[in-house]
Amino acid sequence: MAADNDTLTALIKRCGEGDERALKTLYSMTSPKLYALLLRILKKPATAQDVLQEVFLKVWNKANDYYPGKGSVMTWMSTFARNRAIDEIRRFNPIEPGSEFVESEIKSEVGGWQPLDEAIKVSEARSIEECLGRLEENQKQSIFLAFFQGKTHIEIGRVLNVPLGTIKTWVRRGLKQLKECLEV
Amino acid sequence: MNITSPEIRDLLAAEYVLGTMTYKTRQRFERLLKEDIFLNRAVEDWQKRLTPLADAVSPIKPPAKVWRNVKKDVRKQREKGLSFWQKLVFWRGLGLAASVAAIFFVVQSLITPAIQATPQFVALFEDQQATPAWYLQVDQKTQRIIVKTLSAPDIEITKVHELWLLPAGGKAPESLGLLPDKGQKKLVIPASRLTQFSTATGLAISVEPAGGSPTGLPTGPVIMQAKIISL
Repeated sequence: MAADNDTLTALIKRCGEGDERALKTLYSMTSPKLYALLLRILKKPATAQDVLQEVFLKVWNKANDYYPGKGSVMTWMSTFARNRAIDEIRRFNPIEPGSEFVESEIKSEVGGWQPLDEAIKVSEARSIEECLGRLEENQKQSIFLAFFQGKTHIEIGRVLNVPLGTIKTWVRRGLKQLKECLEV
Repeated sequence: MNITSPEIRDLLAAEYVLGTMTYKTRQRFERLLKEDIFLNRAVEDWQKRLTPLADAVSPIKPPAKVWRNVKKDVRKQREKGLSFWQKLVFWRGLGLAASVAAIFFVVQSLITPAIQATPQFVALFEDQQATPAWYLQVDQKTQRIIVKTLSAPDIEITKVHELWLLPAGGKAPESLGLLPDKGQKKLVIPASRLTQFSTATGLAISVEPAGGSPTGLPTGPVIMQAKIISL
């Protein structure tokens, strides 16, 4: 069930007023994407489920804090989800020596990136897609690995087999170009 | 970590949102975020830029138990919120509606200048001896609450009485302003808060330091509670 931002905004407003049915509807519309995002970062389903639960409780409690200036509702909720997920992996998953990263993982990470649903056309989302497409492959891969897998610079370096300094440069240049592209 | 240059601020905000910071760096950065408003804005901007990428994942339906647990969490929280307030003041209960209706007509004549429109909500605060203390009329159209003091309880000169709305869902109370100790006062209410009156669980009054609660939540004892009656 795809949902447009106006519908989600109305649901958030009703959550702010204490309407539990609105939370249920919001959950059914948005939890699959959030769960998928959490699974990619956290890998373990049990952990992803726990964090998903926390995210919705937080959304319920902070519903009155949302306003359109913060971006779309999905952006707002995804921010909670990603923040919590990255906290989780930083705290409990130290960098594992000898983990093996296969090239196919990289390809599937970047190549498996879905073009956006026609129904979910928030203008901001289309722009980031465009702008990412313009980055050099190295920059794009680094940013993907950071965003969708929550990897640190060192971890990205291990996956792509390049020194830390190089990763930092790729990431920073990539971010700079994204910002310039989005601000056009 | 001392952030002086806007470029460094921007870069750090971007790396924080992207998620590349190590644990300790994140912690230090989050401490800075609590104090640095420019840093906060930079983070918000990067969240708006990058996070829409998350829309591109293929959805995966979570197991049913996650929603069951969310529901449980929400209910538990609601019970905690309500019971906290209910413990503090004895509910006058069923008798209240009748007495308020009677008082409404008497008090209407005492309120000057009269608000011509019929108020949509009223509330009556009584102390433990059932002595009426304050009477409130809420007019959504004019966005005002008219407060009429009937018999305010004694209070230290350094303290004030603050009025709170108790929103639905056991959520944190929201301040509606300070109550007068005599006479009449009009409180101006933002539209967004007015709409909460129809779903709120009630109103409460706490004793706060001069100027009202410094934290945005009741800090002093809650001395009275009232139901919101819609006319």
